[in-house]
Amino acid sequence: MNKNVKYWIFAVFILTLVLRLILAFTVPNLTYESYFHMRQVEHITEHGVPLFQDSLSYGGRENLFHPTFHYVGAFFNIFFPIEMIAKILPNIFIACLIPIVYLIGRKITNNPYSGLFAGIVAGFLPVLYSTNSFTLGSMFLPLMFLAIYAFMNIKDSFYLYLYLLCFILLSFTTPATFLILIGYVFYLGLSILEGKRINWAELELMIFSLFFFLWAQFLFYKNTLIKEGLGFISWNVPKQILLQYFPQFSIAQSLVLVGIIPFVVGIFVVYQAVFHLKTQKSFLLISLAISTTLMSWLKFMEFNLALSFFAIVISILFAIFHQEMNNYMQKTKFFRWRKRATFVLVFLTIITIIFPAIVHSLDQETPTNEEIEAFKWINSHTTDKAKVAASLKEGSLVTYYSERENIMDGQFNLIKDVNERFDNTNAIFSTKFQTQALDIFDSYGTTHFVITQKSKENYLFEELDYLKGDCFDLIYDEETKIYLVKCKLIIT
Amino acid sequence: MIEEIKQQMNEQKIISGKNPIFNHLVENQKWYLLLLLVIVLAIPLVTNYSMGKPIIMGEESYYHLSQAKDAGALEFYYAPLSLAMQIIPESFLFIIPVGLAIFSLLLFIAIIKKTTISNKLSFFFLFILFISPPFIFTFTTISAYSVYFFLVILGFFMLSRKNVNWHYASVIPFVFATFFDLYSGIILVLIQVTNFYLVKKENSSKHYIIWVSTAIFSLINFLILKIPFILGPFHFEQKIPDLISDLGGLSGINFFTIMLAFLGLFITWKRKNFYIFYLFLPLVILVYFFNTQTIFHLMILTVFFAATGFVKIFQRDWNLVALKKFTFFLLILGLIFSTLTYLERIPEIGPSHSDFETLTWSKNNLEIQGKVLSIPENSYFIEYFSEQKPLSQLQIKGSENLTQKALEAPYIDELFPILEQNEVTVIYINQHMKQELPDEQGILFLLKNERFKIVHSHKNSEVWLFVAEENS
Repeated sequence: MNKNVKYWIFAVFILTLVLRLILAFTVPNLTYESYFHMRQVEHITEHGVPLFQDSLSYGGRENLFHPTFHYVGAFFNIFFPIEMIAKILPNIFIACLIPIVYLIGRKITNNPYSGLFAGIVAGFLPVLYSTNSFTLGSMFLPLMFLAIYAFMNIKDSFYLYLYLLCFILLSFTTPATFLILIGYVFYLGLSILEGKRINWAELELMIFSLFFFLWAQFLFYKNTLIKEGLGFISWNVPKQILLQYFPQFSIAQSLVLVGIIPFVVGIFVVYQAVFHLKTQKSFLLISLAISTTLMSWLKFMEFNLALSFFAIVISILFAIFHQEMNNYMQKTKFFRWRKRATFVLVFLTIITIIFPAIVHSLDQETPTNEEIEAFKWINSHTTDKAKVAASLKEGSLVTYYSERENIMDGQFNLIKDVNERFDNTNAIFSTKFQTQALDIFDSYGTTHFVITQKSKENYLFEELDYLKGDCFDLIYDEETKIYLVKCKLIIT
Repeated sequence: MIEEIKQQMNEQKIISGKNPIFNHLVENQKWYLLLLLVIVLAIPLVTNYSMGKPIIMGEESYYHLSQAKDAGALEFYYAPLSLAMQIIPESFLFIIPVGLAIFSLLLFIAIIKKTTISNKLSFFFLFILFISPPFIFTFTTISAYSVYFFLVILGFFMLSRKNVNWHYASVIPFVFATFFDLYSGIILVLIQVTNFYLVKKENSSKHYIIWVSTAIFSLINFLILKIPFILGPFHFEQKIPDLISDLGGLSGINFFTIMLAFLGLFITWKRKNFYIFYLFLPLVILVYFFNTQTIFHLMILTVFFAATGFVKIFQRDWNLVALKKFTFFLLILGLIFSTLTYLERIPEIGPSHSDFETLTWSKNNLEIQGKVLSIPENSYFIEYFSEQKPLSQLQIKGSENLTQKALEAPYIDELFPILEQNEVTVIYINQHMKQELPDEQGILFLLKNERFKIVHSHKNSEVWLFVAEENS
């Protein structure tokens, strides 16, 4: 029976991976934030160290971050081109969630079919279908759930060491790892409330995890913490777009991105587990669901990452639902319809989540090939000293393809005048006055200005009036326009 | 097999008498902790000296020094500091807080020897205490709480002596400890009462006399001598960064200590001997959020829970010995790392060399009656070094609003009336102000007006005069 399930899990893994890769190669290029990570991976491959002192981003700045993900990418970059790695590696990582979710589901229900069911749901969660995104989340999520599975099995020394390895990697991958620590706090709280005995071995690991995590963050973010204080939590994201990064929790959006059936079932299982079943095995997962919701609500965590994490927890809880449904049906006249009911449930679930998943993947915001050609053109037709103004999203394209200094990009950490830069970047795409635009270009030493079709759509303009004068030369005239800034504002 | 078990048992004993290194440290804790204390307190002082800054730092130091200089009859409690200022050269005044710290350590260890508190707990308590930023800051500045801490420890030392006369004599340091602020007096009375009636459980007239006299003097000082409820604040309060030093506060508790304290609370929850300490916790937390200057009291309690947590965690056997050792190492490293990060920031604490130079120049060269406009944090430096009156002081509630209004005024039409009505004749600008204030609006922009004349500058510190309209 077990062997069959394993084949099924392998089949689902391959099927999802193929689907993800088809989508990844159908959608052109990668999401905007991916280019920052690609640049880091390439730098590590060439020089062995990450680009902490970035001379191009924001015209030169210090950017501290955990580099584990980039080192993993750099390892593969030795053998394969970065474009291929950026499309394949994250999808393999996310597809690995299927066996991990299966293992956790099987562990908490002692039923391999319930685990299989959870694995299938995890494979098609719409929120995980950012197939062209080469970001930390793709490594963080499977590693986190592997750590959780190892934590559930710490009596076995292999899993104990596996947990330690996973946690150490996680601590050096992203500060979002604190999610698991908050989960532990809720887990302890729930266990105490329900009068369950706290296992000292678990407590040992929690203590270790807490102090290791703190130490790892201090090692990298010491200066950021001192300079930004509590602002560290929101990563210095400009106030104007804070809501975009940490949006209010929306049930409608969550229903679409998690799937209607998994969402409803998840909520039901949490209710059942806390108030009726009271099994300690599910407490850890419920604690993680609570901590994710809380962290997202308090805006301590990026909404998309929090929702992805929440969705995976819910897919695991599906195993409990399947188990309970089976147990219940066995006690009723519908006992013989058990398998059919499971099939219908799986079918309905997949149907309701697979289409949103595909749509979510096809809707990803990526630059077009023409835009990328324009940014590459800058590289070959401008001097090294050129400084290029582009929209916030396209800032990473300036540093990656054009290899020129930008005014700003999506890495806000440790940038003192981030709000002012954001306002100025917006202003050059919306002002009617040449003097204002020139003043901004002057203040950052900008030599070139890129306008893509996406910028026009975002800022709702067809043409900028101030570009008509003699101060700007149109030097690249395709769908994307590149202007040379010729004038300087002299105050007399 | 037996050998293996024995070996594993030995490896578990990181903080027990069976670990020879730890045993040696605990047995000789007086000397090792003294060495640690001297090193930790010497670093900020040496840093200040090497940078040419005045060795004594912090706004509070200069508040007390100014008060001691001009102390009237009602401020007789400044007499010891006035005397010290006459005997000790200004650049050597740092020996006062450092000496108080050393004597406090020696007295504390002497007290501990006569109690049932374990050597281990006292060792880790003092270790974590000495590397805590509020402790370092308090004992490297002329601060009220450094004297208060010493006096309280001295009082309890006297109480721990066998001779009853010493017990009565303890009233003297206890009463002196009430001259700083009412809050410290209340805390002291609470400590005395809990110690006499809940720990020692002795109901004697001697104890009654001690705590009642402390309480009465606290009230007299508050009502008649008008000592404040809480002395300070001497810097702009930021509730969270002031609590956690790693978030850039002036002297908060470090993150590792706070986490250890939480663990200590969790592990010792509802333990019989600890309920007394839980009583103080809500009080000190609440008062901290009222005034962050009271971080010192909160720090003492947090460090106590942290030390308890530390001992409890590492005293018991862990399933994985390697993990226990690694966690122990991580924690010690984290605590030291956090302290070093704090010590790195010491040069940022004022007064800077240019503050000292510019304000001293001002004292020697400007004979102008009138007030000085600057940020409220500079007020104590202005008062002490230039002997001029600042427009506002953080201690005087509401006065900082006037300064803020003047510093942020967008037009001269708004700024000049404020300066004229409040008799401001000097504007003092230093590096901190240049970093924090916008240069395209507010005071830094308005200084371009012809009624402001720069009369002295040194590095990034400047003295400007605000001249009357007919002279401009």
